[in-house]
Amino acid sequence: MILHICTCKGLIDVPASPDFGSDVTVEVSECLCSKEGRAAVEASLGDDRRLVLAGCTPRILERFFGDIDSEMVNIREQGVFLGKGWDGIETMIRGGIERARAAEPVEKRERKISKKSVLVIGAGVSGLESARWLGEMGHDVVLVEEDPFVGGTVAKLDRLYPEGTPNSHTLYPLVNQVAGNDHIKVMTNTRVENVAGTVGDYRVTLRTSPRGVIECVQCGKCVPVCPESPVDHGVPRKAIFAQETYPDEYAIDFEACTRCGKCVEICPAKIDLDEPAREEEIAVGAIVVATGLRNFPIANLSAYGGGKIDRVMRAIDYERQIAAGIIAPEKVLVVHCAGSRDDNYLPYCSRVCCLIGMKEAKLTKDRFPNAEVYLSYIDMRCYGQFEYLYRTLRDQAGVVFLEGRPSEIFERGDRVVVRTEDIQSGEYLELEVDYVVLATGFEPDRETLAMLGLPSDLDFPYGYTGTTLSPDSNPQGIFLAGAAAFPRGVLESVESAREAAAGAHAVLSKDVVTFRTPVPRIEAEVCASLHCRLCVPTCPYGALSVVDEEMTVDETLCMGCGICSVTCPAGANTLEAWEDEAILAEVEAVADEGSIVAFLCKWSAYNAADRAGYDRLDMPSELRVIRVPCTGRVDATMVAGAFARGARGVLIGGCYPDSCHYRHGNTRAVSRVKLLQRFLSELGVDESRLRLEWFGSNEGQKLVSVVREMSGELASVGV
Amino acid sequence: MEYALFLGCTAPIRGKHYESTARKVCEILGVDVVDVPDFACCGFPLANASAEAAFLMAARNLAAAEEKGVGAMMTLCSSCAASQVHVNREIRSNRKVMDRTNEALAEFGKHYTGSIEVKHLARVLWEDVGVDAIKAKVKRDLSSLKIAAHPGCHYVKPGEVHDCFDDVEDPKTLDELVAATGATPVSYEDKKLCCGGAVLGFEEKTALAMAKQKLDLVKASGADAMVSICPFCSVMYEANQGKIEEAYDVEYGMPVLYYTQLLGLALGVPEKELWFRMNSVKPSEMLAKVVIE
Amino acid sequence: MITERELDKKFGLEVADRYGGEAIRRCFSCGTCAASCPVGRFDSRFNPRRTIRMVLLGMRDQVLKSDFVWLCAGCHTCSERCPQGVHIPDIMTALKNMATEAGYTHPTLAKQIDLLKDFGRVFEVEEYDNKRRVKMGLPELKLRCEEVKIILDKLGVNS
Repeated sequence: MILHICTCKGLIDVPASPDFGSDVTVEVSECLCSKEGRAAVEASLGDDRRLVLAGCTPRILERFFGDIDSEMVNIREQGVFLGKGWDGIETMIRGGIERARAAEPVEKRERKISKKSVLVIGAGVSGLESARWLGEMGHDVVLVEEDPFVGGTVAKLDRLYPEGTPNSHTLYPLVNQVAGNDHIKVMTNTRVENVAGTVGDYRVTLRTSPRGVIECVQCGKCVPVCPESPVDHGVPRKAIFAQETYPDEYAIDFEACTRCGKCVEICPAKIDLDEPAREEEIAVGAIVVATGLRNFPIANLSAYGGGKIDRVMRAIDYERQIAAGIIAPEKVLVVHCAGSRDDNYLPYCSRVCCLIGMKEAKLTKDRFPNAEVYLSYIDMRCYGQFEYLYRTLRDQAGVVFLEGRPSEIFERGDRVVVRTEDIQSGEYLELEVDYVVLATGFEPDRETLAMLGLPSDLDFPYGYTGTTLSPDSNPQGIFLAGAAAFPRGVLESVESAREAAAGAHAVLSKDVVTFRTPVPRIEAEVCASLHCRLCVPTCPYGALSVVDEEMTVDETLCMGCGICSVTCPAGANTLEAWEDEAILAEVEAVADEGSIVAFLCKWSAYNAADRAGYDRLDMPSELRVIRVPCTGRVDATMVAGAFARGARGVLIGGCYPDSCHYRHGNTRAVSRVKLLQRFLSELGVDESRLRLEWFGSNEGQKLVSVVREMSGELASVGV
Repeated sequence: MEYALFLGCTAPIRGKHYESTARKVCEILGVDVVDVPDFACCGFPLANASAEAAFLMAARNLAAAEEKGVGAMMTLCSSCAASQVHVNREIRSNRKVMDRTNEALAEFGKHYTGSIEVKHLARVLWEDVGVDAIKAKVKRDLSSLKIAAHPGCHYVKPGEVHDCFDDVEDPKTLDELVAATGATPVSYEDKKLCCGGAVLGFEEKTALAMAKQKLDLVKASGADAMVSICPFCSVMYEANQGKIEEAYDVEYGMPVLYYTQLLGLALGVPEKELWFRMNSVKPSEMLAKVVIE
Repeated sequence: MITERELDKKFGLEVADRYGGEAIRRCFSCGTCAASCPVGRFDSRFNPRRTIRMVLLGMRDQVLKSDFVWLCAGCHTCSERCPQGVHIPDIMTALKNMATEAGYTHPTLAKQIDLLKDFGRVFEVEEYDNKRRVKMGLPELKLRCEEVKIILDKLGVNS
């Protein structure tokens, strides 16, 4: 084993030839965290790859040695800065050595990026923008769209918020750039049926359903002869139709088509009503998911007459009916939060509906200045520049804003009656209007997310996107763009589409990607014999699943928190680089009679300990810090190991509630600590000797107070 | 189909015609009715003073029904249905609640194991008997009648407590029951409006204003009569109709029948046994439209 | 004006501890209850949204001594629609219970309590009633139910 001790340019007093046993080669240097330090460490590594680095905090050491398998001992911030002399430091180093002895070597894991093209699912504004950037960067892009035309929701809209600019401003140049880029292959009428493989090598099955129009000269003769008039987002069209995006050919809506053959007869080019569907498999290195939003079905809103009253409609249908000249409203009410922030329907705020609702109010006033427009809301959410839209509507357009959520909407003759409280005046109000626009929220595209194995239930998968491009995540091959991740407006969708393109580019431009984060090791035989699957739901990222009867970790999704390792009742699951045995070995090496062993989360409490060091706070010398990735990684044997060595107290320090880096590691810790405390009481150990506390990364002072209380220096003050 | 008949407080005193016709239609439709003399108040009005005491009163009735050896309980009053169904549900779904309840019931030697099903009479007719079975037994032609059904609140709400058997925002079962008699259910605004009965004792003016709103709308619908399934709703719309007419200087003359009277009429029950003379607003005009042999 | 010192901050928590009060603090004052309320439509003194607000602020006396606290009809129209799962009628019941416990019992309720203690029902069964019932072919009613009195006494429910 090689041990490098850094004196940090003389800050740390290291005795002449420190002795850690015959099998430990010690090298002392002046400044490990430098290019020279790195070179020296590399040069010292022989066949024995076990390495301990004692120096400054891992926060800094990881910058230079993050990719080298090593144990790091923080003898600066949490050693000399906290007043430790060589004795204390020596204990810390011994902890690192024992940990290194017990640890399994971590193999560098890499994956070849063998396929260099990228699949973009969904050709709405987000998919188009992602494809455009990827194409510009020179990647080969396959852009698939389920509909016969590209453009998605934006193509159906008339105008975009906040200014009410026609959709053409955004869409038409974008469509042209995509359609005109030779790197981009656009496939309409196409669905993704299946995706297999992983980053760098996905095999994707595509299914293209018939368009019916084989050759088209755009004569339009087919339209008047078509007898079917299906309603497309509030507006009727024919079953054979065109859309001003791309491709520049007509298409048949086979859900509405009755195959009467009239279009075939009149067509001077070629229509084939029996065109077969086609399937093909493609291989790509990365995938951008841009499947957009699903409108919340208003038929669920029975108190609002949704789906029963024609004059109560979705925002998109209302907008299209105005644009098509089908309706000319004189008195309208826009209802915000229709079915949103509601336990009975969508519990979350969809973020964009306030703006959509205001847009509908504005375009009503733009077209029909004399129309009376009311808008009811619970809270107006118009962040940032959208405040101006809110002001314009009040000030220039004269829209009447009613605070209060309507209780019921029903028909009275050919009018629609809305009952609401006008909270600001405290009056019970009954309005009779021509039309009610329900500014509903949106649901995620659960089918696509499920097919890709991305975690999502009722909520959008924003937990996933939060980590997609996180600097501490493993390399990903799947990127969410635009509203597929969470409802977004066009502006933000476009931004997010570029972000997804950047993520895909970062993968595709490499030949090999390296995994940064440790993943759990699973002993397949032990796991299979117990077959309990308890760990699967504990993963915050959905990285665990059973594949061919074997528990499998999706390394691209895993973030290395170790919550699952603690859940395993058989000990068959342990997090690499943070193994149970290794942590326990360190505990046993550093804990002694009267010590306070602190398992500190590397995201919060561990940094608080560093902070205490920078501020040279008076930390009790009994403190022994064990760095863990998350409080959710701490298990009973580690705590028991500390007490067995005579520890006076055990502290588990993590991030405040709801702020866990791994979503719910700290909540897991709460329930585990409660159980452990009950167990300790039964053994006659005062349960207050095990404490769980939350820390901000700057709360060094709080850490000092807690450790003092636990070491008996201070009577409990209840921080 | 055997049900312990839960009369409640109001029906057997102020709605004897309801009780009598309910027993009659049940007999014709094959719903067996068992009397449990030990039944007392369902606790509904007392909840205002003590929700806990009200809970125990309802539990006491359930225990009494169980003691009698009947598997189910049927109420005439919608508020009785709400409290009996709610308490039953709480006891059955939570072991702790059941234990605590039985501890209290033990005070007077009662015990409840959770074996009773509770339903309102109208739900029994709609769910257990069924609209088709009713139609099959209709003897008189009521097709000339336009009827405004008043489902009231506690017959369907809280929806979850009543297993959402009807749509709380658009209750249809009572209309379907009216249609089953051959009469035409009319639609009118504010069908779900509360009768105000629970407020009557606390603020009469407000309660009467609530009832008036409904009477206005029912009158405007052109209905020959209104149909109720709760003695308290009937008190509001029928017994207090004169008072409302006087206070607001309006005239309704709107008969308010219990659904069982209308159903009995359709099923051919002798007119005398339908006790129309006990209705304070006489449905003579309505009856004139029906051929009664 | 009401000063913060006059507020009883425990009031909201006490209501939250009562049956059905659990979710009261989720209320975000959207007014769905007030717009649904058939009583509030005809009597502006009663507004469930405002009542909940007053409870959460801690206006104990202003609520428990009020005349509006008795006006909830318990129709459940509001709670069926509440987007935050607040059991408004149960909260109103809890407030009526608290008002009763504090000695502000409404006279009508006091009368009902007396009737229940005496007869086990809110109407006295008079001799005439049973006679009339027998004439109509209906079974006679029991005149009393002692067990109801036992329940009420045990729980200290008094007029």
